[in-house]
Amino acid sequence: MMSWRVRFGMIGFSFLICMLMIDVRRIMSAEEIVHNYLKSYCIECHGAAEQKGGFDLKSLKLDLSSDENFARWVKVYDRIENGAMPPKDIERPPKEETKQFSKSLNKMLIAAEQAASTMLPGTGLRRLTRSEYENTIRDLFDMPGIALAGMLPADGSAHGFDKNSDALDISHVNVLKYFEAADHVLDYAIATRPTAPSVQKRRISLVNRGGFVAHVVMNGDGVLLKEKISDPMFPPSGEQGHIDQGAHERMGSFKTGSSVGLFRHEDESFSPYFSEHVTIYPGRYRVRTSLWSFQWDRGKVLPSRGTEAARLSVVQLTGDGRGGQHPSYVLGYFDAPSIKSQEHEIITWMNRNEMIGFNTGSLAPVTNYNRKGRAMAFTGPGIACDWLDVEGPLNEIWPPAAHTTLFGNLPLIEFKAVEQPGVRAPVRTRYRQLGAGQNRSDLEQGLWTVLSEQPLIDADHLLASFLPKVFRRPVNTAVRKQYVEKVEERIKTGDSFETAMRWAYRAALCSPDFLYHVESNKKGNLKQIDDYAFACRLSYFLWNSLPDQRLTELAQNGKVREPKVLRAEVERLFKDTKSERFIKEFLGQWLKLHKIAATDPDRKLYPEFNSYLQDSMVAETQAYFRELIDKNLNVSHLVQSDFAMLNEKLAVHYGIHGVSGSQIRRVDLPIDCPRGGFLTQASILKITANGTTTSPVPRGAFVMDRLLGRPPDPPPANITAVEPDVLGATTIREQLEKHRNDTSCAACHLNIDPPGFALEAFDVIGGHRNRYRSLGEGDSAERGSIDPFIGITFKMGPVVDPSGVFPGSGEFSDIQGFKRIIANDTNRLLTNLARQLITYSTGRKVAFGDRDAINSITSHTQAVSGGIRTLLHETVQSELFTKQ
Amino acid sequence: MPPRSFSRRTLLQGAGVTIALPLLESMQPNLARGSESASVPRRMVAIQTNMGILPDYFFPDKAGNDYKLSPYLERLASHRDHMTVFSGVSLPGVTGGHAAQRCFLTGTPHPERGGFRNWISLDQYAAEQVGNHTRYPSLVLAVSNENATLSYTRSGAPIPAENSPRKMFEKLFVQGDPTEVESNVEALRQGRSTLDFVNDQAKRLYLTLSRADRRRMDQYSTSVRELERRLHSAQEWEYKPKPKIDDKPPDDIDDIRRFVDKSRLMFDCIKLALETDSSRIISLFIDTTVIHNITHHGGRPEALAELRGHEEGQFNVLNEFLTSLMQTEEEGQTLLDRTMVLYGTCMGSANSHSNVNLPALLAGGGFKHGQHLAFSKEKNYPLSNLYLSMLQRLGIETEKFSTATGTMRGLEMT
Repeated sequence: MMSWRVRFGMIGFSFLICMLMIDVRRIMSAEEIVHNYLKSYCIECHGAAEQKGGFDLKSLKLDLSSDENFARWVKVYDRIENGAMPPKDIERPPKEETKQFSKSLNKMLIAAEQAASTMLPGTGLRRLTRSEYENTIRDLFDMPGIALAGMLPADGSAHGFDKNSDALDISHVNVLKYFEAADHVLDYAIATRPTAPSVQKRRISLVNRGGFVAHVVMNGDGVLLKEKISDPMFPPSGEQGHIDQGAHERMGSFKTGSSVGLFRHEDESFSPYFSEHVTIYPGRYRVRTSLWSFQWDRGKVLPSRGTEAARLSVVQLTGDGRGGQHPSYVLGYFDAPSIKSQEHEIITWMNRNEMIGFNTGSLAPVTNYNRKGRAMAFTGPGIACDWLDVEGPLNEIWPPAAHTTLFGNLPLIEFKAVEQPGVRAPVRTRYRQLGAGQNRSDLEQGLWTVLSEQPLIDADHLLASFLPKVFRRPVNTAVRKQYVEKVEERIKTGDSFETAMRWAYRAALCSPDFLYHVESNKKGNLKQIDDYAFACRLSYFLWNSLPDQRLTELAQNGKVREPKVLRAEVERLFKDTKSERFIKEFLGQWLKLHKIAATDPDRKLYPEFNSYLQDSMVAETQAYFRELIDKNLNVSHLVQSDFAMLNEKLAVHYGIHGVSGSQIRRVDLPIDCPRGGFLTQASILKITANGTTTSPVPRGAFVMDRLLGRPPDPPPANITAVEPDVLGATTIREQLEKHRNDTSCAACHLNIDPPGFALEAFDVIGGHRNRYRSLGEGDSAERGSIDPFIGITFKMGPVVDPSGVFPGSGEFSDIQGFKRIIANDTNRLLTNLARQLITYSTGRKVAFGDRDAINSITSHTQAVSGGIRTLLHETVQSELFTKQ
Repeated sequence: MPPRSFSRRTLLQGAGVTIALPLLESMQPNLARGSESASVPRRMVAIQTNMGILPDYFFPDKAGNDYKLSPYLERLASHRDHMTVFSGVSLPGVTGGHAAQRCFLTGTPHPERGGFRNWISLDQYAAEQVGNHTRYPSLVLAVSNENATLSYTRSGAPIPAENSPRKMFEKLFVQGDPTEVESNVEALRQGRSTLDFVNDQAKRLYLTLSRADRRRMDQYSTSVRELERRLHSAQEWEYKPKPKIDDKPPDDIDDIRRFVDKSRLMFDCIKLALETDSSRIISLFIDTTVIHNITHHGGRPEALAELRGHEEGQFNVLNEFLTSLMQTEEEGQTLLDRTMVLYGTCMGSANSHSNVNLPALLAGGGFKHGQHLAFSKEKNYPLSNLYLSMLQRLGIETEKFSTATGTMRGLEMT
């Protein structure tokens, strides 16, 4: 797509020329100053004779109309401004001249940017991202789990985030999917019965029919238990296999309330499901379960090694015939304490054909079906599930909020063709329940739909309420009339009221007023967005969704921008659980947490890696960021801290003692612990590695780009990739010697590599190491904290050297030393984070001319305490947040 | 089972069932490969047989153009110059033994993991872009009694396959029931009218926007108009009579053990569909789960012999299909020249459940064939690269699909 600068730069530049002609003397000297300075102090190394570092000043024209050129001049400005140029060993030009130079170039850059921006507002018109779309519908219709994002094509990315208009193209495929999504929403929202579906409560055993576990118990991968010992009615498999599922069913044994102890982790042939509830009515369900853990010793139930963690997930049955491995998402991890049952309860939304899945999260993969003597020959840990209850659908009111959002309080009546001649009955779809669910639908009696005695008046009222909500701003009468006219048209052709309104609602959900962030100007002010747009910016920032009633009212009353009110709103929005979406989306993109599953750790080198660890890693980083904001901790905590947010799995992984259980909580770190701060969190360490090996370069680049805001230049073309040596002969550090010895490499790599070298002390799954793991040569490896059931074949290879020099900041001998160095640079950390937050929340990249405003944000923040929550407040209060 | 009812929803799903577009001039996709491609209809038939193909009888020894035909490839001897055989290929990250059968056309890694969600399949991706040229953007077929399918939507939902050649025949050639046609048309009309309405809203918004933002709103309007055109043509298709052919509807074979015969019937139907230009994108899942046990031959000679018998039967039927395409003429070329036929399996060795070194071949479609493209057995080359080449052969301008790192090395278009 052609950059707007290229197109309008020509106009912008001639505009600049006009400005030049008006005040020739003053502005010409800015250019002259720049030219003279460069000629005196820079051309020698960067001119016709020599181009040090590949930078050729002579061929760089002072034409600021092209994006690329503009960016290069910004680099020149920055390098001189922060003293990186000239290099240390060259005599510095006189301070006063450098000051004049910077001032002049600054002026020119801002002028060029402004000239271009008179043609258009800074923030381009952008549509809702996938997740914004989904969250908006979820909140608008009070359907917290309806699945929509997956139906829409993926969004792109611009300046690191998907909220920028450059990342959000639209094609006919998008429009088609929006139609389908709207139909899906309306199918779910419109009530088709006069009373709520009956609440069914079902207690399901882990050995339920269709859930796989009954099958694997046959061969010893699980056992039946009663009163904390092996159930005498159903002996464990030993020399003989356990009775099969059919026998169980004939004996009615699934109903005797036995607990089920499971040894086996899910794998490609085994997916534990609670199949007896397959959701028919979408809605909220209460899921309760009772869990404990034990050590099994050839028939005896003994106390377990500690609290294990079971995983519950929501599984979506698809119709493609496979028994297992259906799409699912994790509901959570739940503690299973030793011997003593612990009950857990969670309320969750379930869509049609969804059910609950199970896994022995904290156990190592173990199978007994090949073991001679099966369960009676096995000694090892197990997780026991006494039962799982699914109760629902839970509807406190009927019809539910989703329906009343569309049809208000209009009564539901039974549609009888005879009573409504000439009216077509609304269409009802028959849905098929997949799988082995034993829950049944209520007997559907008759066709129920809303009654309207005055359809056009009702349509007008309903749309007057709905349209401003869904479009997130006032809708004028003329527009609403257009919708009402359509309803009238449809009714004239014989549609029922419901069907006619549905037409209008679907149109609203596909119209650009809904799909786009329409940010109108404040009255009489072309540079600022109006109060409704401001409220939206705030809610899409902290909730990734539309404003709620209170925020909308504040916009209506013109109060939303008042500093005190705004402050209070930021606090309120952040305290709401919906702010979890901000944490997930912002970190997902800023720190690339969305890419956590992009690589698979090599099974031989990292056999201890599992999904429980991966899920815990992500939870740690999200919880840590939340804690920084909650406690308004200083920005140095991005890099360094004396605490971490851990559960037992992570604590063991990090070598920290005394943490028990699956839930994340704040843990004080021992004095010499290298953990603390984002850089040494397993999630970041995994994302910056490739599953088999680490390399200082991507890690270093990550630190520079994501944390310090100094993204390195891309490598020159024709550089061949480094083939890491997993056989243990050379270390990556040795292989990167060239970066130090070759001056053209060194220019960039002297900055990129050092952070990476410090982080070499951590492997691809974030474990700390003094030696590299190897598949070839090496010494035998110690087990350490790796589960006893996991086979270790890797060896200990060469020693890790995590030392380095960070130019301009000093030497370090290990990761703690490195962190101390960066943590001190609070201004840089704060500036970068502010830029990221502005880019994310406004959907607009930070312009050169915005720097003063950014500095204002950071200096206000520093003046208070340099805390992250203060930064959030300052960001929202900043002129950049309200800028058009 | 009555014909699937075409509800308004189904119509607007566009996921391979009914929205279609005749080859109107104004809608020629803007193709980089010269105007030739714009008017030459190109097709794709993607076939997977899910229980593996014995590698010892499939892979030739030598690479290049003068390889010696292996026992299975002997069955396709007359098409040696129309096909390319691959070795040393697999779909990166696709593991999990049988679970991989869901990913043959999607390439999504790790189908065996909990929470796995599939990506859009090759045929559906193609149908989204170019499916609008025919009455049916794509046909999703299977020889199976277990709901197996090769095709997945963008959101990873499986698209149910048609298992009955008879029903497929009726869908292609028997005129629709008038009330159904009317209801389809009505739904399309409503869709179009909604698109008109939202476009009017866009025009209203447009007036309030800056110049650059107007361009972005234009993108929305263009997309809406493009979809409207497609619905319009789908509406026209509803009234167009289906092609008249002399063939009689086939009688379905119920016994799944006769999968070779069932496949033959399906291939006949596919050839008719291609010949009448009823669709140009077809997927076929041949489910041989019924012989699963002997695919775990463990080296037993009797199991191997029986398995070989079945698989040779499958290659015979494939040969008949390719021959029937070659014998059909279209504008001076053969139907085979214009139809890419992909045939392969998700397991390199069904015996060990290995998912690397997949047996696969590509026939026809307009490539320089006649060779055995051999890649490294230790470090496999991505089969998804072949999929990218196939998409580009269809005239779709894309550099990305699934896990492809580029187009297939060594495979050139004609």
